[in-house]
Amino acid sequence: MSAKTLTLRYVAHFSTISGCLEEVYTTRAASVRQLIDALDQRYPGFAAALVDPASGRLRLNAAVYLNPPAQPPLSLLDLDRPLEDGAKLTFW
Amino acid sequence: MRTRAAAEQTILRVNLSNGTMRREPLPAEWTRQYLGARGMHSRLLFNEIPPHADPLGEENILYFGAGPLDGLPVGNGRMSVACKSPRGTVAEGSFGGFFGPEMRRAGVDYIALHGKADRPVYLYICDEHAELRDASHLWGLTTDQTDDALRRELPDADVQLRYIGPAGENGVHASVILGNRNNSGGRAGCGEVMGSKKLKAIAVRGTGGIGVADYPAFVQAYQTYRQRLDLATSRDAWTPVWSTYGAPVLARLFAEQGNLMTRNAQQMHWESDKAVRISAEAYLDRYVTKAKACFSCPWPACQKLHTIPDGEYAGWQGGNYWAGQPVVFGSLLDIDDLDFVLALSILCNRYGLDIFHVGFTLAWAMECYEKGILTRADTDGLELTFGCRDRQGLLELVRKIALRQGFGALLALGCSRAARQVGKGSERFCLAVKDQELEAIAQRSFYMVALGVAVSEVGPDHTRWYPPYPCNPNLLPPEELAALGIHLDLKKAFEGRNPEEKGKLLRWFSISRAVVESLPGCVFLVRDTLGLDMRPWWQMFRAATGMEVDYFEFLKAGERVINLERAFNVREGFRRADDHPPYRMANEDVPVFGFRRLSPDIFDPMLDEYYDAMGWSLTTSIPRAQTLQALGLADVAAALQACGVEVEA
Amino acid sequence: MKRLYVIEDLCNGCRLCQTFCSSLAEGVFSAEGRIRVLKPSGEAQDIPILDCDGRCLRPLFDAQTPTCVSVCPTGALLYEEAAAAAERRLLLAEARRRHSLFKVVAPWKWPFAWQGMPPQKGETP
Repeated sequence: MSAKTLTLRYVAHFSTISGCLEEVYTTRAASVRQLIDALDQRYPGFAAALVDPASGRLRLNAAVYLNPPAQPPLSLLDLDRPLEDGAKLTFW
Repeated sequence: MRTRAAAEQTILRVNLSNGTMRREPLPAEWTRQYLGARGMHSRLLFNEIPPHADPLGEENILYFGAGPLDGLPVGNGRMSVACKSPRGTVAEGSFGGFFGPEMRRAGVDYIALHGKADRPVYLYICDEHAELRDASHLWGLTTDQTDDALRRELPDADVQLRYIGPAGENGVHASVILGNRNNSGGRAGCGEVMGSKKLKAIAVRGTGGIGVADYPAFVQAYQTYRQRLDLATSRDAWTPVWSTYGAPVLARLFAEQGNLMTRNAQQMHWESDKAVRISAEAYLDRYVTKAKACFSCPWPACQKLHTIPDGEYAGWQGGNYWAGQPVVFGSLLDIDDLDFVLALSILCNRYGLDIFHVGFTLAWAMECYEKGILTRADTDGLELTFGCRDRQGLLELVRKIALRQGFGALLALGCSRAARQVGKGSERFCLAVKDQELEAIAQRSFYMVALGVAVSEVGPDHTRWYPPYPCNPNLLPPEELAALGIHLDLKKAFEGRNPEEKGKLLRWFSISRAVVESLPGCVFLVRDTLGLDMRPWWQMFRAATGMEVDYFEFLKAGERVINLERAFNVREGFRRADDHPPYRMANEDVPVFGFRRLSPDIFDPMLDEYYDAMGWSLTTSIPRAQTLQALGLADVAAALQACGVEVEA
Repeated sequence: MKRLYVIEDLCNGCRLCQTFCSSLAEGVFSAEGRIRVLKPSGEAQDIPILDCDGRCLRPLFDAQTPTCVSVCPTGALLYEEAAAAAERRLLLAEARRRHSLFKVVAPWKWPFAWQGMPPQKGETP
């Protein structure tokens, strides 16, 4: 699995968890879910704020936007969506 | 303590021409039919303002109105202000704060201001007492000075105030009414009309209480409502964001999504570093001094007080940074300095100017300057470029708008009338509908917004259909939606650039938000399922008033309100052709992601679907006789016909 | 013994506490609560003043919690033993050192993690 370079943006309360507004992040995560798990190691509480532990789905009070390279953004509900190199993700 | 029933609705009529006043109850059945606030105003406007009345003349009436839930811990202090707009349409707006509950506790639910005073006055109400007082010493003061002066004069810390600034006094287009320092409302024309009546301010103090018909049921309904909105329990990604950081978080996202009007919407994207500099996060870090709230809001910090800590505007104080300012003073003008954005906003509040009027009209003027239609000879020597290096000059121009001086006098007309005066094709850069400037949300990527802005009876006003963003469609499965009377494919309806279902979605939004604004409640609190499942609002209304009303009958109140407002405009001559997006949105593609212009093949079917869903004529937009009949508004059809309006069966 | 405490600079002036409190005796909502939020200078300050020992006339939302504390949106009201109240004050001070968000809301009203700290438990009506 090749490394991907992603731009990550933290909106509002996700910036209180991460301590930054935006960062460039290199990862081998294959899906959004794996990325969230990796980020949870860096930022404790990150996954809990996004993923409902009971269902494993996106929490109803959280949102993820995905901008695939050069395409309009998508509001993401499926956390198992594969990640592309160069994508931008927004967490709130 | 004097106690009133929540259902009681009394109007105080003040004749400014001769100084007489009287209180009278409004018909009890009107509470069932129109609820209160905006709804009651829709009926009063239609009944009491004669067709083709001069908006700045004696015949126009300015109404301030609370409603059955005001003063209770769910009304959020919302209230409505309404009159006939100088643009000819209905003018109605709502604001938050503490004035509405204070009116209710004083035993006055509505104030109707008839006629015109011959010198500046203010109205003072304290429980049963009401009087007009001289306001010569207040005329010309900014809103913060007026607030201070009246607080010295009326030494009761709980007196509630509404006032206009120099912009309203001088009849500047779209000027607003303010109160509680930073809550404004009535941009559709109410500030101008208040100024034309020489009414500088209203002060109200009430010491009574409001009883609800069924206290346990009210508390139970409150609990459901509160759970939908509370930080810990709300099933909505907006709740934590809006209730603390605030709506400007959107600017960072929209900047790269083709959704942010930049340089007068010539572009729809903005550099990410610029958006970060004026972001809600930057605002909270550097400027915020304190959380604020309207009366009884369940959210901790939708509003904030701010102080510019250092630099050129060190010590300037104000409040509230909404979704509007980062657009109208940020991307639209290409200004990425938050000190300056806040300074512009603070100045508008002091002078009683509408930020949307000022932002869009400045952007129009900058584009004219860029294209050589306006030159330094027109702008009093100001180099009026996007990004604006001459900041002192721009602040001075904002003052000149409020005072109608020099180049400011042109911009004080608003962007549409200014463009008509300047000509030379500048009308094409004017971002307005029914001569009123747009607001913050993009149209070519949110078709529902384009439609909602185009059809709005008061001109662009996001509170009529807020929010345009999807709630989570999983919250209410289709069968539950259908049981609530919503027959919509929600997934399709919330797709930004799909014209399908938009007319039907907007019908639902228009009606349900009219209900919320009539109770009144706050349209920004329709989070979680509160914008689709209106039963908690209905339960609170029933428990408060003791009125037994069926859920669908309750929702019909919203439909009556929209139809009455439409009928008012129809009587003044507004038709389908007036429900149209601005030239740029209809004729120019977005230069990112291939987002298309709102050409007739996209826009017209949405408009048809909306009129059809509302039961209005597709050719004229006039409500059909059977629609009005079914809502119990047969008298409205008759009144329109009596004015020579052709009402279809 | 549990007592009511006010953290003045967290109060946003909404008056939910006062309005609910006023209704507890007779079901009439007014400004006459045993807690009142004074606004001596327009909107610049919000100062909750207590005339209550915390024995709530009618805890509407939780038998153990005074109504005013349940409805407070920012966490400006506490009903705690003295030591627990002191702990909350220290937590707020620490949170404010770490993040500007806590200028406007108490960490115990914030259901998310922040800067390495787990979410804190607070009252919900």
